[in-house]
Amino acid sequence: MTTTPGPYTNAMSWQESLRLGLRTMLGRAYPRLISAVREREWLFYEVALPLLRIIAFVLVYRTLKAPPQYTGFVILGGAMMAFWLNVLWMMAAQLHWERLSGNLELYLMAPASMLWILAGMAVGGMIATLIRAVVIVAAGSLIFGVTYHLVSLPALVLVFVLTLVALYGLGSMLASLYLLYNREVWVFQEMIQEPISLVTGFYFPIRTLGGFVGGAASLIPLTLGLDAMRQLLFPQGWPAFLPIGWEILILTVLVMLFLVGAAWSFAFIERRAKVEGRLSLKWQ
Amino acid sequence: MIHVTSSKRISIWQTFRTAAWLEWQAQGNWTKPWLFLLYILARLLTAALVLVFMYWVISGFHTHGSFFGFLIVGSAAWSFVEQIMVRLSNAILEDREQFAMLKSVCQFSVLRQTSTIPPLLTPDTQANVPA
Repeated sequence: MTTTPGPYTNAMSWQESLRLGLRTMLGRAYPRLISAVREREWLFYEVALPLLRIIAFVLVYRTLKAPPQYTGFVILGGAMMAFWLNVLWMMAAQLHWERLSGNLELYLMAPASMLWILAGMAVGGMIATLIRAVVIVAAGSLIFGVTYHLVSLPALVLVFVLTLVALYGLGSMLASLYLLYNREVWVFQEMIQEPISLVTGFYFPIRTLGGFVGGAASLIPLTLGLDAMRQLLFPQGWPAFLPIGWEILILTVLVMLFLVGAAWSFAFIERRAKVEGRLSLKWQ
Repeated sequence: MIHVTSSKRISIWQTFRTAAWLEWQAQGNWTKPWLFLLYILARLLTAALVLVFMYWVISGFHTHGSFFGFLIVGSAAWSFVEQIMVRLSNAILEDREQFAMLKSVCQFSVLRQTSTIPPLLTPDTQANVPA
């Protein structure tokens, strides 16, 4: 079966197309941002509970008489955990839920590209999670009296941005791939949550796991992002996995890899939805 | 004092058994048994291994000491806390927002008390219920 693109999309100039894309992105980001204000009880789940987990890990290190900088490592890992959970549950699983609630058909019929919708989800989620992460770092640092020795602010910002873009790119790619599955998605999400916190070194140096596991875990942007950020914030005490320059380079490659991967996988899903007339449920 | 009759006891047991069976099916029938086992073990083991590696980083890969055992046992016991505090409440929220099964269950219990709807019984246990 062959299809022709709709006249509306053909008629648009690139400026109109860009304007539509940006409006779509802002429209999809809006509920993410506004829900952070309207549903204040979620602050308890997303700030207080992660903080309790961080406190527990800090107390474990203190009981083991670990060097004081390990407290800072744990707080930073805990703050970045918020981004990982956001990517996992609010990006990767989102389209699966949209399909269950019936919104996915509307997204696929809309004149704007699905990638703009995903970009909106990512931007909204990133800003809302950033606020939570800052609160977690500030509260944890105040409670335990952590001091940071910043080596280079531009490098830290660069590493942070690259890590987030690569991470949300990975989330976007997973979001489309999850549409190929049904109930397995939920358990897969739960299954990878803890192993990822182990192999990416949220709470201990990734070098402890060895070069092979650390190298494999580097495919997840958080591994190298966290390692680089800890090197930039705790220059004296962090056993680095790779030099910062290498980590920035690999993160840049991961950004390109995941963004291209996300675009490709969405093109695949959109084709199945629009040309073949199905939304990729396994039994269809 | 609340008096529980024999048929009531059977009914409670059957409701409990059916609920447990349903939950087991909901949790486990999405895949093959070996994959389900892997899923259960992977979550628990990796959660414990985070603490183990934290211990090893500081102690230099020693596995002796009472604190090491405390970490392992604590990590294993935590899954029960998580199950009760998070998953049970999530199940109610999820049902209210998506499936609305609890409403039907509650309506059914009320109907059973006020009418002649028989309890949920399997053929093999139906014979044991007193007339």
